[in-house]
Amino acid sequence: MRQDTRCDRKQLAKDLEALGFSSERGGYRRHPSGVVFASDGRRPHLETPCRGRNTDPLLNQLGRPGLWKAVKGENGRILRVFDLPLAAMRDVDGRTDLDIDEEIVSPFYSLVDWALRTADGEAPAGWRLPPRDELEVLMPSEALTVQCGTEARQGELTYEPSCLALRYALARNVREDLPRARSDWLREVLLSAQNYWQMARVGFVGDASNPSVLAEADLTGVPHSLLDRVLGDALAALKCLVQWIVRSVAFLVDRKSRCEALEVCGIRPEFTTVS
Amino acid sequence: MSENPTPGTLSFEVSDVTRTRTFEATDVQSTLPAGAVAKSIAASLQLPDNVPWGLRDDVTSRFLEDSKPIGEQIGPSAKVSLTPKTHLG
Repeated sequence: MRQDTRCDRKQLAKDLEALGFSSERGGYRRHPSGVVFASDGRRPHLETPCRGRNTDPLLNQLGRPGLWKAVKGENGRILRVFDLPLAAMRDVDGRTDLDIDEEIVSPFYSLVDWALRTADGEAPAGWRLPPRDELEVLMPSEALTVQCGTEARQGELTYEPSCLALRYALARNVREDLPRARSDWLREVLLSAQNYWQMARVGFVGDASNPSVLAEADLTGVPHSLLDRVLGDALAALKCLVQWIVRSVAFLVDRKSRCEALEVCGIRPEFTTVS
Repeated sequence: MSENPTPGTLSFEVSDVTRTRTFEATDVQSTLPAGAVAKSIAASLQLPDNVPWGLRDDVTSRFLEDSKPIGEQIGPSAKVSLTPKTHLG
């Protein structure tokens, strides 16, 4: 059933206004937080500038509620973005509204509300985990396996009162004395994956001298009514990201492997912040 | 054998079916299905990927179940063989 796009835009504008956004040239902005809703047709998302010195997109991002992640914008500035999963916004049953606590809201409204409620790095007040058995039906263990040539990874579900997340360990205990060229290339591979794949983020965790590399999709705060579709999108995106880079990561952190080209074609890592 | 295995991983000895190549698989995620581990090992040994590879426990001679986590089927220091799951006759 084809939806009337005029109605969609009207509904979208109505939902954004209900959530405190106002229309400005080029999009919608929410004051005073400065959160912007943007859409290039394929990747609707919310964004906000990163504030603070030395924001590293690969540090201190993992484990935060919601799908927010730091990416490099077109002008080189670091932005925090929350990708809105397209599948969750389309209602395949023809329904356009959801009944949440007796209030009729659209899936789009629910998703943007989720983003706003996790924008400060906290789990939404009053949010509860969905039943575990429901998750296990939606996501059997075989669905979490990524096997890519010589590398294989099993995703793990973090199921805690204030954290619902899917995670993959890409590399464990990366040695502190990893040669500089390899370290720089590793960061470049991770940053490019972070920028390219929606909904999923990567980063270093653990001891700074011996970190591990994780990829995750954090669903803390997800509207229960959209769980199946958001989970499907998030898992697909996360698995694509893992498949995209797992072999490169394994090669770069393996000190037994040799490649002089890494030194010849050096990478100069850079990230900028908005102070 | 790895002296300091990473938590949640295990290391074990792998041979090909002819026993001409033997190596230690280290830091294998214990929750990985044995079938996925077998495929990865086959790829490491540059064996064809259109063969249904399985891991066989050298002690019991039984194939590990492809869909079950490898950590539930073998322990550290186990010895397995990468074997094609073909049946004669």
